[in-house]
Amino acid sequence: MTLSFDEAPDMTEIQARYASPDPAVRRVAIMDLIDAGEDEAGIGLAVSALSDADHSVRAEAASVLNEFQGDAVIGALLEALGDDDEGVREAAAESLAENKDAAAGPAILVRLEDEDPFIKAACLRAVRDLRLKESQGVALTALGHSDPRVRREAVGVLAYLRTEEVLMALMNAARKDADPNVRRVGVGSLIFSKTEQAADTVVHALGDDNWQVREEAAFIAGKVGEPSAVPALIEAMNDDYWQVRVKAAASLGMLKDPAAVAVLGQALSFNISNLRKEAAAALGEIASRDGLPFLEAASQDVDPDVRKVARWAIGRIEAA
Amino acid sequence: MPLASLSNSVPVEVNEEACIADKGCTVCVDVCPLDVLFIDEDKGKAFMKYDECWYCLPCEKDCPTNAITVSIPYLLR
Amino acid sequence: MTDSKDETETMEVDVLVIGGGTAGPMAAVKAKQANPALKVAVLEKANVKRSGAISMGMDGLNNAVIPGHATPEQYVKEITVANDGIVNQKTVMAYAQSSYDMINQLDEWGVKFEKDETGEYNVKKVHHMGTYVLPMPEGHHMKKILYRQLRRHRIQVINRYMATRLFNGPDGRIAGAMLLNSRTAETAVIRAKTIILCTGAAGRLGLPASGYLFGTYENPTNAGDGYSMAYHAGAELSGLECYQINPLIKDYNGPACAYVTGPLGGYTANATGDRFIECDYWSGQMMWEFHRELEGGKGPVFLKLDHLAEETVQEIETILHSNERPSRGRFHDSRSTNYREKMVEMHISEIGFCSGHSASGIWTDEHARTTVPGLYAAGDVGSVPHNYMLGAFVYGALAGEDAAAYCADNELPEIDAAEIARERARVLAPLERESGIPPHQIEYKLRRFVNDYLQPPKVTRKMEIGKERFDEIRADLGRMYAADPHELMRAAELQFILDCADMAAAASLYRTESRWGLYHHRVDHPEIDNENWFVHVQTKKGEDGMPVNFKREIDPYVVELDDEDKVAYQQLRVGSGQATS
Repeated sequence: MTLSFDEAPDMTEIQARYASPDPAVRRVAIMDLIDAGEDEAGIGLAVSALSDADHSVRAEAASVLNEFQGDAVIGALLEALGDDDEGVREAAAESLAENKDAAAGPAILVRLEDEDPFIKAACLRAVRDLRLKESQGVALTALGHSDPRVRREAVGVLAYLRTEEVLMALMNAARKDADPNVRRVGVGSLIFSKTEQAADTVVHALGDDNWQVREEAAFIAGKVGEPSAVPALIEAMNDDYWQVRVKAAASLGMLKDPAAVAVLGQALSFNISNLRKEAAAALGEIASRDGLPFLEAASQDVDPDVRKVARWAIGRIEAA
Repeated sequence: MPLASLSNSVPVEVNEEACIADKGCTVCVDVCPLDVLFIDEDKGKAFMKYDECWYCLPCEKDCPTNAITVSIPYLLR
Repeated sequence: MTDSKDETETMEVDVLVIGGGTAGPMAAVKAKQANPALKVAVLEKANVKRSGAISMGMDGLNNAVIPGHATPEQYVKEITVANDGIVNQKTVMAYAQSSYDMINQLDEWGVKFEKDETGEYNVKKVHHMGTYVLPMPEGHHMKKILYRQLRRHRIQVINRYMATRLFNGPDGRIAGAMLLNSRTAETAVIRAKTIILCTGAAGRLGLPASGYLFGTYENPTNAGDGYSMAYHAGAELSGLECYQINPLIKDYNGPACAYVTGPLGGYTANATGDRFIECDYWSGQMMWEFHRELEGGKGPVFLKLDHLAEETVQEIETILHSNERPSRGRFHDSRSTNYREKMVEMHISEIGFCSGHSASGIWTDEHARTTVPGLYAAGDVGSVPHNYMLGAFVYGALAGEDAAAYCADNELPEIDAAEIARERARVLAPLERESGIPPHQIEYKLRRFVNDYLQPPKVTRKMEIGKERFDEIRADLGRMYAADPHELMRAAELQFILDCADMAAAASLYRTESRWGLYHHRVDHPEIDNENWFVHVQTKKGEDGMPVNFKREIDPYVVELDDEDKVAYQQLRVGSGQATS
């Protein structure tokens, strides 16, 4: 006797259920397409379900399509971005964002021309991971869009391209965008540039009104690696938010300028142990003997992480 | 050896108005790792049959009509 | 009164993967990719869509070896140190060398790792020596992505069947498995050239402090199935005295998530709000420090987040309450715990076996081969220490590829019909009885004894008494009664748990020293004894059906620890003998 264990739903039976007048029955039929194991027929039915009268069936179809591949799938999802129902639009956008097939690029770029900000943002998000050279121009234009969702995704597309040509546009977003979230990702996008211009923008962002923009700038300053950021980082060690100071301390460690020793030493007596730990590590990175008195004290800190890092830093300075 | 029964309050609650098990849906039953959810064939609604819950939530998150609420089991609440 | 069919049905495959959680789907896909002509099946006690330790996803990788952030050599050193030197470094190295390729493979499949604004992996520094943490704030799609790959590779999935025992061929090679349907009590036999055990941890060994049988750290469906089945198939197991014990939110089974909260500024603190953990890496030593603080005057232990900014707390809530253990927010609400206002009380988990977090598993080499030809183990049930989720994927892939090659050179072995009949009778017995003791009562008693007698700090006499209690429970199995197929599944699991309890006691008694901090702290052998015990402790099924233990030499290291590493490592050790009070 043999046992097949075959329990996959049958396509004909699914199609019969999809003919039901009851939208809940139709929806369950669409859900079952995932397990049916018949791609072509499954795509056909899911695509037609995107024009179902009931929005819950359409939303189900938009997420089920994520399980299938090919031009027909992409085309249908791009169309569904314009659905009247928010659930359907979101499901379609999410499915598109997960696509990794670069062949879908041209169709997405065509759809991106739509004026609807939701569609524009979703299409930008969908081309981001594909890193298509052709998306650079449209993304640059989209940076001027009135909707911050569109501008945020445009920054993403440009940052993923990592080309020096778009640096100016990214620096502009970091400095001048009206939306703090866009400014923050704009600063973050400068991580790939090791230029003085990028460092200038980061320094500018260290003075941003929004603390999360400042925190990102303090973090990125070390990654950009330009010594010109040191005075602003020293200044940032007095920021109202300790979170900004922690990132500034780490970046000062990476830039290794002995000018920062005093301010880092003072940070070893702040009450937040995360900051003391980072400051001790930075003093070790800078490896100036002037840091030793501060570190000697920190090696008796109440926090074991601070003590350990302080001892490591002392060892490093003495070996230097 | 004689047996007695003992009732337990169970963590998974199904809103029968919203549940579409009668339309062919078995999502919650399928995704439960402990296999403790069943469909009441008379009512056509899902219910928790065994008090063996890991409160891991796939049943609640994957339910297409948000019919399920999972509480933390009383013993550890 | 049985629903089961009179005859046991059979089917034949090349590769049978038992367990469709993390390692299992990867093993199946890689076997199929290696040879698309092979018949590959995944057997799953639940449903592959949401099964295993990561049913709701995972919030990050904590052992990512990514070029530019860490090297394989550095990683092997860290694991060697974290595991007190008792490692087969070759297996750790095999993981470390494949780690980055696996991350890229998962990324290609659509797993969303945290990236910087330009699309590069956003690796976070948590440990002091290397940088291994790669968050996955949207990691809840993991199972969906694995299911997609199973579908695309046309791999046969058999849901709601559990394996109860493995069969060996006449020459000892693996030959197949007995299956039991958890809904109908139908039995079946699958004949297979190779079997890959991906059955996860032994998560239902100890009883959680709440007393709720299913409130375990691990997914409670992981009852130790693979440990027991490998044991009965004659395979060697290793490190079963090196238990899994993890820090937890008190009463809730969710982990402390140091890897999520750490990079955002949260930490584990004592009652005064100060850090106390000296140890650098997740290890038994760290658990020892945790245990000491928990029981000490500055205890208990807390997760401290109340110093963070509102925006950061919101970010933590979004990540922690949507991945891995999403019911966590609900638990905190019912106890009026708000991360912003007070620290969250923590505790330690019940004991279990799990190589993912410690080192207890079925002994495998760097190809995931066990000591039984044709039998493989990957993921939490394997023996590669501190492997976590990414290690499960890597070892699943290694197992799948090696099994595919093995199939080309080997025929399907015969299985003795009498053995099938015996196993079928054993499995179905509780359902055949008219009355008796239900499995949940026996399980409660067994697991309470596990807590009473095996939980560290370990005491020799207590563990000996524990063995006597386990023998008595074994005698009770003849009276176990299952009212329906669901209870029959629990009855089969109970027998896995009992095997694991016996193995845990035997291995713990055998190693007469203390090692791995809390994991193997023996009060009456408080010192580490490298002269006699710098070896693996192995477990096998003896002639009398009970566990026998023996030593296995440590293979020469492929990465030597230099003096500096050894010093760093010694400085992190808190003398375990002095601190039993």
